[in-house]
Amino acid sequence: MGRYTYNTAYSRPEQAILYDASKCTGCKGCQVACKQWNQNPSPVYSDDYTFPGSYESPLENDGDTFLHMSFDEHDGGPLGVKWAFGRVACHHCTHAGCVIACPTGACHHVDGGFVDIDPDKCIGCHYCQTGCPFNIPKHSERVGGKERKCWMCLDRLDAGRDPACVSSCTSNALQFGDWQEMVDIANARVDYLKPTYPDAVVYGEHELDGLHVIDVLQYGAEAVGLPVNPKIPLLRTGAEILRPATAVGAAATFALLAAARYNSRKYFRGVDALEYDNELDETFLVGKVNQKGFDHMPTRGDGEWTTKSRQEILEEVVDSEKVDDDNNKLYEGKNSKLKKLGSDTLVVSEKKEGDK
Amino acid sequence: MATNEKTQETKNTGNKKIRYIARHDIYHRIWHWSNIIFAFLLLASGFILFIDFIGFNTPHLGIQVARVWHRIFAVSWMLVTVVCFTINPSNLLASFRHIGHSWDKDDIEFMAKFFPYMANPQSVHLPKQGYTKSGQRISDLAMYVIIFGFMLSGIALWAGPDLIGIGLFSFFLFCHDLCTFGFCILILIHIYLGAGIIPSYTPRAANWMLGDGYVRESDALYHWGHWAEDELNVGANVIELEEGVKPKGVWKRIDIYEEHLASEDHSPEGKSQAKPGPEEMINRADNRNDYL
Repeated sequence: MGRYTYNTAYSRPEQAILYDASKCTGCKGCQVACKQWNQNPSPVYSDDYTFPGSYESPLENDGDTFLHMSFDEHDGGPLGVKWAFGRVACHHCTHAGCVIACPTGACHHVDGGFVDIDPDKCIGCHYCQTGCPFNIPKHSERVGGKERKCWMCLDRLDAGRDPACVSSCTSNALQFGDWQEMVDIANARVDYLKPTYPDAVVYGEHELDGLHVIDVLQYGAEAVGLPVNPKIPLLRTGAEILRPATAVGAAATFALLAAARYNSRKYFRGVDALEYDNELDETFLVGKVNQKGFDHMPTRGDGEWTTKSRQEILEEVVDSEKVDDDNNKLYEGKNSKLKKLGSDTLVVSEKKEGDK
Repeated sequence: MATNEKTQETKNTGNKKIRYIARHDIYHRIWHWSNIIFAFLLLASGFILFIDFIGFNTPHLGIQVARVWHRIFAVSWMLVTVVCFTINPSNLLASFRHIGHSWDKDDIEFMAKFFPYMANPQSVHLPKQGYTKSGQRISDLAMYVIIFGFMLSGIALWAGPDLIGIGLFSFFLFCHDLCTFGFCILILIHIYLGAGIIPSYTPRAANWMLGDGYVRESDALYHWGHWAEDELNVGANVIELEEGVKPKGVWKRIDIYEEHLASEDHSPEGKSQAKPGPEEMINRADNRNDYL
């Protein structure tokens, strides 16, 4: 397996990490601790890094960097510059887009409300990426082409320890505990910060039905690049609607076709409605009319569809016998035929004037 | 049964012959067979990803294998299509060309009456149609758009978000799912009509594309009246067999419209007075504002 299997029978209350950006010194100790605990490698040489114009390294989280500290500098603030630290990692959403998008069940909620990716089930399809409003899950070819992200150090939690990042924090910017307790601390901290930092917010109490990483952001969510009102991406939602819609649409189509089939069950156009007579070099209309009312036949040339009933045709035949002899001669053998082939079936061939 | 009595009479007289019109050549039929096989395989392997509850109970290896095979099937399907088009492009291209034909009043009337006909064929009568019915043209166009959408989005999904970005990846994933939606609906209707489940189409409908490629004169006139008349008049694709004798499969057929348009000699000399020559046929086609 190569991975610690947490005790799924263990039931823990909803918990959360609290990240207070106003206390964070940007030391990246948490990022290093995360790398260390999860044995994720880092590039060794400076040439492997691209200078990002900030103190970030690497530029973003990836399959081997579950936690990435972001540094954003903006003009303004009480000190003339707003230096906003951000903790870019999985927020462990209650309404998690990755869990919804995952086709194999690899992305799933675990005790405590956290979201984990089971590497044994992950097929590396990237679908979880399309469902995440924070762009967190990342692909890693190093582990066999699977999606990876913060898993809240579930092995440490089961052992009664805090996540690695929290354990390493020297400024007490990271705390871990019951979800409600973390939310209460965050709200109290924002109340304290508000006079100096009017944009200060608690991020994660209400977003996506509650995140399990609660942020205190003294410069607001936008300052660290977080969406103010995160939602599962529209295309992902659309795709989720399409799946049941396909089933419903297919079932409805099937039902409509079945109804059409049932409604036309007595209809029979006659498989040999038209036949070629090689002696006369003519094709004759041969429609079937029986007592059940198979009452129309196809014609060719300039002919039209007919809806005459068997009775009407019989009456026409009787009438046609009264037509003058010249007319009969004109179409003799070609344009007026009537053969009775059975007691309940009539085969009629007729040709109109002007037809070849 | 009356039909049996009639058949018996035919055999007794020995005069009854049936004319058949070649409609789908061997490459067209092979392509269609490949469409059936690969569409089934692609749907089967794709549904494991598309429908969550199938995937949840499938071992990881099974899902991954299905995902890999999904790509192999897709590439194979494209290869068969390319090979068929390369060997004999004319008739396959004709399938595309006919989609673009302008609509005449028969086409509009056909479309207006098609759904009432489906529900109640005993009292609704459809007008004559050209080589491709107007409804068939809409359906074919939708199908080609969907298949192109499948191909394009499938290649994009294969490339992955690392190459095209997560935004485009999400878009193409949505497109792929949207194509699946349309494909499932269209394919049900196509099977209903093409396999002859609808009574007015008769079981012989399946034979046209899946069997020998020949359409009985009777069926051709019923389904594509204008086209059948043109074919019967030109005669290039028409064969005549004793009733009960099955035709061999169509190897190659002549696109009468293409042939006569390409021909420089449209003089009526030497042509049967009983049958209209190419000029008359083309004029008739002109009048219908079709094929030209």
